[in-house]
Amino acid sequence: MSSAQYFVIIANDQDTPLYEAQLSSTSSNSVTELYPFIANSALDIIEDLQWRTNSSSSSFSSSSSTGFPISFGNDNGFNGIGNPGNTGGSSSPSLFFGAKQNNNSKDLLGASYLGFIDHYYQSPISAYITFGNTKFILIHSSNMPINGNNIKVFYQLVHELYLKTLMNPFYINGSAINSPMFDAKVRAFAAKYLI
Amino acid sequence: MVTVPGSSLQNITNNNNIIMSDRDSKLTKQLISDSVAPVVTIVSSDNLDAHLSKSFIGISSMYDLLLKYGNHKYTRVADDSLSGAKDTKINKTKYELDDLFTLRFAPNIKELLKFKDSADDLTKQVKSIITNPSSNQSNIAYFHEFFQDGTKSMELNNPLTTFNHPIVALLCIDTTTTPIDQEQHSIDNYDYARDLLVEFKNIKKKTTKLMNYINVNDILPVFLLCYNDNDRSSFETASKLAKTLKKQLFVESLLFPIWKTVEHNTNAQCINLSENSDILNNITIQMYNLKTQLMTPFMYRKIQYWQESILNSRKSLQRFFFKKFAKATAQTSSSNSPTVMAAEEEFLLRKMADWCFILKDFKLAYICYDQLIKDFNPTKMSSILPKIFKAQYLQASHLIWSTISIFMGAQTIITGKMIKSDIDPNIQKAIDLVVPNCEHTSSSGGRTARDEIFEIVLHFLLPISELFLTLSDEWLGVPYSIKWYERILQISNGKYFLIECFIWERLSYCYDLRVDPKVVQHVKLLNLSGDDNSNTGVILSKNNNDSVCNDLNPNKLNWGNDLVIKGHHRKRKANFFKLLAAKKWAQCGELEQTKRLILQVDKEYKDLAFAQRNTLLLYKLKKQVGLVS
Repeated sequence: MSSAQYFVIIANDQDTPLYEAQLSSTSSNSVTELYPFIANSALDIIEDLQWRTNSSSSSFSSSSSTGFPISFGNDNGFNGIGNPGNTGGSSSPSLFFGAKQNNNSKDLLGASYLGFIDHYYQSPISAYITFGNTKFILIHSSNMPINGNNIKVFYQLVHELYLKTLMNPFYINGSAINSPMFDAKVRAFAAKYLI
Repeated sequence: MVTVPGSSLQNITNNNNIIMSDRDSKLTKQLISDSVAPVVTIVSSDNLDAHLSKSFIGISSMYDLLLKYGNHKYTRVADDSLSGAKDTKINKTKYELDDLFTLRFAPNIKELLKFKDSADDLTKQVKSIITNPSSNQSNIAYFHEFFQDGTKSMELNNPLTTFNHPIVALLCIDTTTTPIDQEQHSIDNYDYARDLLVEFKNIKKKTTKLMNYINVNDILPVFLLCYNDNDRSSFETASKLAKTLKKQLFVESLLFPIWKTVEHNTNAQCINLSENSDILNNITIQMYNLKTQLMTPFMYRKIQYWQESILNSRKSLQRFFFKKFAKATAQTSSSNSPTVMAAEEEFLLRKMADWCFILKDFKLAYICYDQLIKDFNPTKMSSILPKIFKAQYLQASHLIWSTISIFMGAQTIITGKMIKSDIDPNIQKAIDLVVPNCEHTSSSGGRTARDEIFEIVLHFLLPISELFLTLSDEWLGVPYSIKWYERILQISNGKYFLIECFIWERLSYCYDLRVDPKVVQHVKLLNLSGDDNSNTGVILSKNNNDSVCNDLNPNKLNWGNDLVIKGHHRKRKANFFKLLAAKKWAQCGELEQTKRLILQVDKEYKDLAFAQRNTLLLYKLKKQVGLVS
């Protein structure tokens, strides 16, 4: 059984999903009908983190290991209540998605992983953002242990896969990814890393 | 190009909720003031009630009349000559009339004790709000009605609700010389007035059990002498009676020309008060006189006395010895005597704080609440309070009301640091004092401990959450508001479903308000650019260049047009919570409410293909309310 319930890739300038996958078959119907809306609402938080300059992504990652406050899908856990004074964003946005500017490419890749950004009914939501501003979002199960490192690896593998798809001359940028191969690989990664 | 719901600049500029307006902020504070307005009990003679019911349509007693029209706003009468000699007063006070605190009317003290505003009652009231066809269909109007009901204090026989202690007892007498029904009644006279006063003074002897928190000495009796203004002798009788009452019984009277324009004969027709602005203005003026000439001076006198006798002594050197003294008195006082309970210093100080709050002296109110918090002695309070009531609740109440006083005006500037280090921890402390006791509180009268906890938490957190929204910096205040609304949801945990629906809707509103002030400025700048391109042409020309580049290279990275507002709003979350609220309403079977919200949500999601899928919630709800076949 996977610790992740739903995975979505959202296009860079739109709210339209490019790819969606239901990773768990055990979810109830009342929750699955909400997943795309939950992912969509999480975009507000992703954008907030993306344009922030005064905090590093590692702080968000670390919050994942400390458990989640009981909440109903707000953004309190990382910025709302904990440090409301810092939620104003910056007047000079950084293209490095809130990460420390560092020449080390590995660190930059790590900075794309935003960690756990939100939660809905105690179901954590993690996110990853590519340099092309495409967002990857995972909605996790509330009652399964989560390994932050594995999630990071999953995102990086999917990112690689996504880059390969972009390089495909038959793929039009911004269109839905319908390749069965892509789907199979994503599910395989999920089965391997999101247990 | 697909529009991002809520994030487009157009949506934000068109949205009136981008910032909670000053009007909304004032309205919230007004609603809180109204919910703790001074209580006036009304006792009227049978003669007067009969006379009123024959004169006015839909009025059966003086209580009925004042309940409906006692807080009526003054309206300008076309013919000012009707106001006669008091015309100058009306002109002078026209604006003051509407500016003072409102009044809450209760039939009499005995009835007031029976009144109980439990969470179940609130659920019924919520039901009536949403089923009332005359209700305004906007979300805000619905919520304000709910808020008004939700912030009402609970039962009177509870130390948390000293706001419900009556301040004035109106003893209403009919002084018309001609009885309208020849078979009926003798004319109300001095003896009758005296009996009414004696009965009022002795009320505590008759109902001892429920009177623990009532002190008759803290209630001002006032006679309301109703007369017919067209009848000279009626006026003379009323004036004479007023003088006698003042001289003999030392009680003030108000002369009330209620039958000013009605001819007094048996064939006189009933008039509809809502159409008669002259009589309504008369009522407003009398209530204004009651507030300014009698009630406010009485309250200030009491406050001054309590300040000198209790507050100042506590703040002096004596406070160092207070705790020892308190322990000693706790051991010796006869704890269950009602008289002791109402006159206990702690209760008097609390009453002083509440009265200062009513009179909008929030600074003094805050000082009193603060003193109560500092001097709180659980051992002493436990000995004073009834066993079923936890002393911690009282401390929680002090904490909450001190916080409310800060928001209402005790502090002119509220900073983020102050919220983080003082205000929010105080609220948290108050809720922690109430909630952990849930398991240990015994149930009484069919109410479980959980019900009691929920009522207290709702009454505490509802105004607090709203007051966070009144801060000028929504980016700062809204997260706290959301936090406390969610706390209410957690404690309710599905039991009070209708109340929860309102709160889900309010959460959506909170997210809607959360826009970074920096973005608001940007939006204003862009709005200006629509009128004059000279200054902000850079932004416009940049967009044009973008479109040129996109034509050359369709795969170029597109950041969207409204780059500056990205991450500085929570519009998507607001829409999502509105959708959730719609779902909750549907689960309650309130499809009209669902439809109202779905129509709003659908506008935001209309350009997003995924939202329209028939497997998702939006489509299912649309189908349920008949918006799609």
